[in-house]
Amino acid sequence: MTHFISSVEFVFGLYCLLLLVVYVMLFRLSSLSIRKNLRKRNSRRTQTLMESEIAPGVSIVAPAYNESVTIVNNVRSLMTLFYPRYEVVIVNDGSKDDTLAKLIKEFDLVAVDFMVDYLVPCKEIKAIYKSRDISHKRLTVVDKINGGSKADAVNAGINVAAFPYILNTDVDCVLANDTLVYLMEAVLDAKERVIAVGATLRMSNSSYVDSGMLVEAALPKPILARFQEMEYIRSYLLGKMGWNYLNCIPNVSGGLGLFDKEILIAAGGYDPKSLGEDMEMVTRMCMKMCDNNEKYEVKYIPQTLCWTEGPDSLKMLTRQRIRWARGLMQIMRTHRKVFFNPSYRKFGLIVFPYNAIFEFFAPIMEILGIFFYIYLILTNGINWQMAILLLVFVYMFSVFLTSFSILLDNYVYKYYKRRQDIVRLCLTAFLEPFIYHPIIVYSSIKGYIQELFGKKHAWGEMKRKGTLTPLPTDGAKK
Amino acid sequence: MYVCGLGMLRTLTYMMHDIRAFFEGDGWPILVIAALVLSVLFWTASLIGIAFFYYRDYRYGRAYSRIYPALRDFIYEQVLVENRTNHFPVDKLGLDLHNKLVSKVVRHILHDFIFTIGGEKGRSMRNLFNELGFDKEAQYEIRHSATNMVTTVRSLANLALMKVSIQEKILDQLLKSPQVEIRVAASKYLLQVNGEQAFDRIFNGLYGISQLHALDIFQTIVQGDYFGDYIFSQWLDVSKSFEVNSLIMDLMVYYQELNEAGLWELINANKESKTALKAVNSLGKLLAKDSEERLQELYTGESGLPAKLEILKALGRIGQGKSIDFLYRLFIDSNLPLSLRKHAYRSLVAQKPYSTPLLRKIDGELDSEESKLIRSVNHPMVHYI
Repeated sequence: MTHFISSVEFVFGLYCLLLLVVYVMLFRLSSLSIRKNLRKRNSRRTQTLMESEIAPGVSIVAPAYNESVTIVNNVRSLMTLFYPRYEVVIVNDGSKDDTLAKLIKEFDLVAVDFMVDYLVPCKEIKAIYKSRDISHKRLTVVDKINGGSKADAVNAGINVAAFPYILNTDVDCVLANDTLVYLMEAVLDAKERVIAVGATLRMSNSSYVDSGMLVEAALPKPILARFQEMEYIRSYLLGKMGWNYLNCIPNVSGGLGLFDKEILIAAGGYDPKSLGEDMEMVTRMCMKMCDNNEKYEVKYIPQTLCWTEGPDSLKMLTRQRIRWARGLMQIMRTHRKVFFNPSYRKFGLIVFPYNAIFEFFAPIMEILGIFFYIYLILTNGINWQMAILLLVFVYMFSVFLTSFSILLDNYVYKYYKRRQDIVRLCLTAFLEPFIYHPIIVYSSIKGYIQELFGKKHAWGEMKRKGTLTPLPTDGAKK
Repeated sequence: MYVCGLGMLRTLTYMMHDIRAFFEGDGWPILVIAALVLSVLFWTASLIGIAFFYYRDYRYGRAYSRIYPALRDFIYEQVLVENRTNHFPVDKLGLDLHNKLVSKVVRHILHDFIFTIGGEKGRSMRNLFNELGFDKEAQYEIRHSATNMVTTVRSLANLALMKVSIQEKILDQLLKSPQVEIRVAASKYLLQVNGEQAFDRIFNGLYGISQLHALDIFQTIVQGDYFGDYIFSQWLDVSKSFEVNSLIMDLMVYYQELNEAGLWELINANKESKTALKAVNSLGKLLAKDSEERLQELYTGESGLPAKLEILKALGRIGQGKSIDFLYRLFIDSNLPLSLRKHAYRSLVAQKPYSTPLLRKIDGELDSEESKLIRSVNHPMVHYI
């Protein structure tokens, strides 16, 4: 029995040590990656690409399902981006409300003859609308039969898109004006072919907006949204920017991702059955490039370019995270041939094993660890001094990592104009391990169990509250 | 040798014993405490870092709000009202430009004004920039920060703005810098200061650039005063990278400089490469009428869809009527991908009036699918590339 306990202790110890090493490595690599990005950024003018006559075109694809509350402002916001060549493709995925009617009325739309080339699978496209108003010539609205998933709607948008790059975003996301410039700079400045680019996302809850455009970013007031903001900053700036340095990014977020259309189509488009469609898509694109023996890059940039409305109720949050966990499990199972497969190069030897060991298994190890801890307490086999020391260290290390991510965020750009926002964010780091983290672990485990037993996933509906705050008058803001 | 090896082995054994003893004793707690202390230290450092960034921005904001009104009034008075072009009374401003923060703020404000105000007033603004001593500062930074990419690039941009010449020797060093950003900045400086006289020197030494750099150089050339007849195509070379050849082809298209032989050389070197696709595209945009038949031959020999699409687009642009039968055959071939048929029809439409009889023939033979395709292509509101 003693031998068994020692073995279990060894496994947990080794796992934690490896995780610690990975975090320390990411801490260093993310700093290098961000520094490199900022040096390059500071050495060029944003206007160069903005004014260019030969800039490659980008099609923004944004699916909308029952988005009546916010659709008009959001589409307006998408149409005011600073970039010389782009179009906006809004996919009305069989909304039951008046989303399409609002669009038709507001933008003076009319159905046009359009021969759709179904290059990637999607449900039937009923009609395509263009605006009679020349000032809205960038806009195309696709009306299709509901496909039951975002992936199906995005595929419809890809089939209609005209340009060689696709920007996939959600229609409720608020994009920074220079989003396309930043993302395309990353594509054009790379040594190898860039198949996907992502940027940092934040919560738009409580931020100040005017006509669908972000005026001032503010820390979300609801505590759950605030935790998510902190989690996003850490995950993007520490995690993804760290992996970016090694060209080992596993995923480009569904909220904001720019893709090479040719590879996207060659890889078969988004999988409507996948619950983690964004990660699954990137996985297949990387596999496609490796199969063709072509060099490629998946890139991330540290600037925040997208603000999205995060779930602010426990029910919505757990539902979202359960879906993510199930999606991750599906990908691990579907693409298991990639594991430690040298023909998939870094993707098979680093990205996939890391995801399996430290992303997929992490919640399982945590739960098992807690059970083991309880067992040791019950059998009086615990060294209390050491256990408390370790707990304090892990807690402090987690707080440090979050604070360091906030530092990196401030290094990139000072998004919060109000000092109290940054103080609150730093203080939230102390609460996260007790409140937010257990919710995430619980949701992940629940997701794995549901997936294991093949429970049908209900997509549900995230009620858009339009929580973006209109800019107050000076007096009110004070 | 044997004794030495034995000694080393013994030392190693002792070391392992010590390490084991360390971990069996107080080793683990000491390690964890050390890690804990480090975490606390790094956490404190992070907080100090955050506070530092806020303080830096606060100082900048304070300096900006102090300097901006004074500088703005000075510019309105001297440049816009009194129409002064040089010899500005800069002492009146009372700014300590030796202070790095003040210098940075003034530079930023002036940049904003220079990029907003064009024409003669813009030139006066550049003179003011010069007279405030930024030329000397930029020259100094170029000489002393040659390895600092951001500083060098910024200084070169400032010098180009002021049209201040720099020593030939230094410029040569910058053009040969191992850092591509510096090389591109030096090229842009040369283009802005010397105009077309710099073309030979720049295209001769252009290598290792990215598409973004190529775009940057293209933009600098077309936004300059150049309207002449320089032969860009002389720099087309199959051994050069896609980015360099692409830049030259973009310039050829912009200035409508047709060199079919040069472009065909690129196509024949590697028919499936990005460079070849771009060359086909350029042939179309340059209306290379002698290439129409060769493009049809190329289509027949090509295998990739992107290459075929580029050829069809080029044929439509050239539009001399020599390819209408070829395009008609492609359109009526229902086994071809839709995108090819779409572009074949589009190119047929572009070749009116040569293609009018064929288009009438197509109208008479349409099935419902083809009819939809044609309506889609002909619809004025539907745009595709």
